[in-house]
Amino acid sequence: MKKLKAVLFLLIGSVLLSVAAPVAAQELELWTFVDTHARWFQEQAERYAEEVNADFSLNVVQIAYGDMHDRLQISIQSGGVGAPDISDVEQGRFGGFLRGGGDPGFVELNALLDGGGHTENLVSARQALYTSMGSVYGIEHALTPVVLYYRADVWEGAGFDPQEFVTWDDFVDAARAIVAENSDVVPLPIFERLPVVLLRQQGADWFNADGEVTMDSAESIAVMDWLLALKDEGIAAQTPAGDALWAAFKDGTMISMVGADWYGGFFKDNAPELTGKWKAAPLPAFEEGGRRTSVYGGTGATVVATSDHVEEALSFLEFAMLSIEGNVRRFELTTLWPPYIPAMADDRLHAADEYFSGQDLGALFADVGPEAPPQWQSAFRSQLNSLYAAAFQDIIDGNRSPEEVFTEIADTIRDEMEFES
Amino acid sequence: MFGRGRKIAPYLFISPFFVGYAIFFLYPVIQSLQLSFYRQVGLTNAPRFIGFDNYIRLVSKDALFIKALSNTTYYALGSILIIVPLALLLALILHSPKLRFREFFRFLYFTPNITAGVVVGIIFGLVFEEQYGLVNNLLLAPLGIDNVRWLRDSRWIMPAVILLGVWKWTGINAIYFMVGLQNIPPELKEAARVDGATRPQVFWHVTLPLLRPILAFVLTVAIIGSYNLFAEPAILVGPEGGPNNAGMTMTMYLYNRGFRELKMGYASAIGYSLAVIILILSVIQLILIRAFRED
Repeated sequence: MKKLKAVLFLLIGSVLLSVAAPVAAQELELWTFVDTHARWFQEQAERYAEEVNADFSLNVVQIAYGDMHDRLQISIQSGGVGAPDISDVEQGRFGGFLRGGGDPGFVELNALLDGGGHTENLVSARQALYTSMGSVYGIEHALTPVVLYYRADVWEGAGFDPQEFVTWDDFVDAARAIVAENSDVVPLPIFERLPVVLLRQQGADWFNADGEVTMDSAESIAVMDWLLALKDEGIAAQTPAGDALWAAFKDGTMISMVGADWYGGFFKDNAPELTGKWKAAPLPAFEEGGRRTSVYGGTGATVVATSDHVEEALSFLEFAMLSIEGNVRRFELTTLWPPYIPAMADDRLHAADEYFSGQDLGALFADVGPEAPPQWQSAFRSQLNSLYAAAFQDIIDGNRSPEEVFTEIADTIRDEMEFES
Repeated sequence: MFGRGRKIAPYLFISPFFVGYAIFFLYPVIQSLQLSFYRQVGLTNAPRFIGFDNYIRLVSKDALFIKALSNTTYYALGSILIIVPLALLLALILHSPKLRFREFFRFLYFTPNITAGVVVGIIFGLVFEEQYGLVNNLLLAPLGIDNVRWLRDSRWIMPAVILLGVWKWTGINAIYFMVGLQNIPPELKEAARVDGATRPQVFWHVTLPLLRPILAFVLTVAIIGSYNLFAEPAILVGPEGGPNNAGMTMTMYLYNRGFRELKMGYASAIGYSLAVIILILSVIQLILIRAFRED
């Protein structure tokens, strides 16, 4: 009898507990494809729970780049089945959500941004990437100013200081001298997107402000031709694919890299043994007095329209992404230069960075940041990138000329635009 | 009343499968057939009827579709002409009672098959890497062969994928053949030997004909599997199939159009074309095997 009582007591107790427990706990789910972002979001969620809403918790899910965007599109298309509450969306994939001219499935952020007085605080050229017909759907994480990362020990050891380069001609002259001494090193690694990054440095892009394809413009073809000429000379070479890229950095083959702010975080994560060997300088200009930076990449945070916790999600994003504290912590954890103007002046963005030989990276980004060129969004950009990705190797290997390929791709996209109109 | 219940009961017992089949398989199959006659682009747009336009564009204007079809056929031929004979050879070796550690080898050849395609893709990406990869550095360099650009030269991508296929599928096919070999009564072979048949003659005239049902099964599965190839090349050379789309298979092409470019109507048309191709090939192949039986 006693036993029976005890069992009953336990049973009733556990039923009561299970009813009482989930009362107020609010768990939101967030998807991202970058581990540096995941770390930062996690930390911000803890801070938000401490300072704003003790019942808030955030389940940060990290999924590989392509997979995450594909799954997000599919879950939005199926009416929100399995969709997260908040998601990062890379700007190159954002256009795909606008395909067909429809609603991308995200919560419009205009009320939050305008109402909270945040719009003026954000760099508008970056926000344009997540805007369609006046509706803003994402908040940018990074200004993505592009700089020249270089192995200080190698360049300075050869008697050159990349900080003093003014034009690409200066860079090429020095690179020539280095390669003459050691033909195994690569002063200018060519990655798939380098041509368009350098095109943006000159104020153009593969799409223009009106959404027309401009990949086959004279400037666009000229940049690719220029890179191929440097490759023939032995100054530039294609980067190895996948993880072998980091092997090529670690064994000293690749001695510089044209990269955005986020590349700094990638170096630290993937090549920690090179601590103290790298530095960064403004990009050399194409002509004296020309622009010393470009933009590359970028990711916006969005709230998925089917979420049951839209208000809480918006409040969290405002807390993390539209505050000085959140933006400063992000820079400290990821080297992403904030697109949030009030944060740019914060002292903590100017700490000496041990990985970059004690350099103040923040000063460099702040210096070139205001010159960052605009970049235009298009619903057809991810398709153009796919076509380009398949043709890139043929261009690099000299099987097909940039002019032929760029014209063909631009025409294909024009045909697609027409088929869908 | 009782009689009626007995009539219904068996159907009730088997109904869970058919209900699940209807909801999760039959409905999408019919729905996508309908969708293949519509233009439906984007996340939230309504479909618009366009008749056969998707199919016409597919065969007349879409060079990438033809490319994906020929890549996939390349892989299918490679896998049938290399993997199937290799598996048979392996089965004959593993079947031999003289072989020591037989069970261990059987286990060893089976393990690739239970490894997820994505994992295999990632590992083989490192194996085929041109500067730092294992194949170039450990296998080809000692033979004095220059680095092969496995994943960047469009001529080498499909051979690399076929090599991966050999690694992954030979073992399981060898196991099918071994089951077939075990079912051949030893008396038949003994009788042939007594009549003076040589070993090759026994193989060609006794073993192989008796393996025919297994061969038909293995070939059918190989064809269907080849035309459904997705995860390995998608991971190995990227969703676009790498340089010149040389590694893009039909299912990758379907996936890209449907889930990356959100052209659901067009992707449905690709899916139906793929189904028709597999059906035709399977029928041809079954007819060929049966014709073999008549003589």
